[in-house]
Amino acid sequence: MRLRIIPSDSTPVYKQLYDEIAGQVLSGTISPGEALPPIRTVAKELGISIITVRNAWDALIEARLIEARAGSGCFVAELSSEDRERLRRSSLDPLLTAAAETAKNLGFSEEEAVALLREKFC
Amino acid sequence: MNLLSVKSLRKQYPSFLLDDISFDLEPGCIMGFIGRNGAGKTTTMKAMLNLIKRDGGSVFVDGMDFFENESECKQKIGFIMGEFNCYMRSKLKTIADVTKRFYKEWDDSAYKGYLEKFSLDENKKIRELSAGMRVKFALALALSHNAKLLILDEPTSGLDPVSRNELLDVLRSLVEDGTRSVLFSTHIISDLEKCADFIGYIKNGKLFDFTDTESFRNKFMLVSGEQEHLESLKTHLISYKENAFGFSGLIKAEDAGLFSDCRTAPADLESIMVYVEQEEEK
Repeated sequence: MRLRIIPSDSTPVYKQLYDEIAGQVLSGTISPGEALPPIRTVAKELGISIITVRNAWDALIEARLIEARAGSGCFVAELSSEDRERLRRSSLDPLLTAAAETAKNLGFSEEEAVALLREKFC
Repeated sequence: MNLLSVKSLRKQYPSFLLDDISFDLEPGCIMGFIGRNGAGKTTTMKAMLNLIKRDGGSVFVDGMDFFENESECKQKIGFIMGEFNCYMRSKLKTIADVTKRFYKEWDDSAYKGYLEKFSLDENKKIRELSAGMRVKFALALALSHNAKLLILDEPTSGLDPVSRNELLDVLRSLVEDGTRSVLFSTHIISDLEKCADFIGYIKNGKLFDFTDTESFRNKFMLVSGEQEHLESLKTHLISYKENAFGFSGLIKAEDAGLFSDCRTAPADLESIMVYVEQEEEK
């Protein structure tokens, strides 16, 4: 599993973990039923605290992206296609809202803003 | 004009070479010296002040050749090296009375002001003071002869976070009027982040970098990426650590474009130092 974490970054570490795993679950890079590495392993390998990893895992469970099975750790959850769609949108939504706000503040027209977003896809 | 100008300073020991240390410090600035234990920070400071004999180079204080006009230059310098742990049985008052005779511009009211500011009782003896109080006393002495240049070797080591912040505030307020400068060495990287305008990074007896703190930080970036990308990017990494989920490391900011598959973040001073020192061991 891919976990790109930079502890000193301004984004909280639990959020970085959440984003990494949520991204891979929603994009299908890791498939339902796949096991997540043990919390202790993640904490040790990345040099971060167990509590931080647990907070990220809890948030992922809360979002129903992963599920805990008593005694055997956490697994990627089976997502209904509606759930997957909803979560994909809700991950993107705050960023788009912020981008739209900033664009409006800076006086970009809708067309200009959309064109700029399109450029980013290349 | 620069308040302090060090040019190609050199000191040779049988197993250690301090070489080609050059930097300038303008008035109104704080410069932080960083480097590992034994990198040459203290040696630089001592060689600058003729406390050990240098093997080459020159030093100018306020435009004056230090080695030609040593005693005159020293009037302009306040200097603290390590812990204040001599004259343990003397009262602060006694030590101050001796110290002031050496300085033409000793300012008694300033001295009293600092005693009050640091809550020092001048009837106490050195041995009755805590480590933090001793640093504060040394600082009060160093500050009370109207020195333009303060040279402090690890003034914050052994201080609790509150005292450390107080000390950094004092340093900040000292340079505020733009006529004085401070050069201090430290291991405590957060000290630099809080108050250094310039960073001098000494590594193995050489000045690895000397620049303003912001640019120093902006030269580097932290990355974290997947194992599969490591092989092709290895040569662009200053140093890196592998873990079960990929790798993390330090790169030059100008190489950031190569790392589009990785997560990148602005580097903090501590990470820079840790990775740069690791490069050596690689």
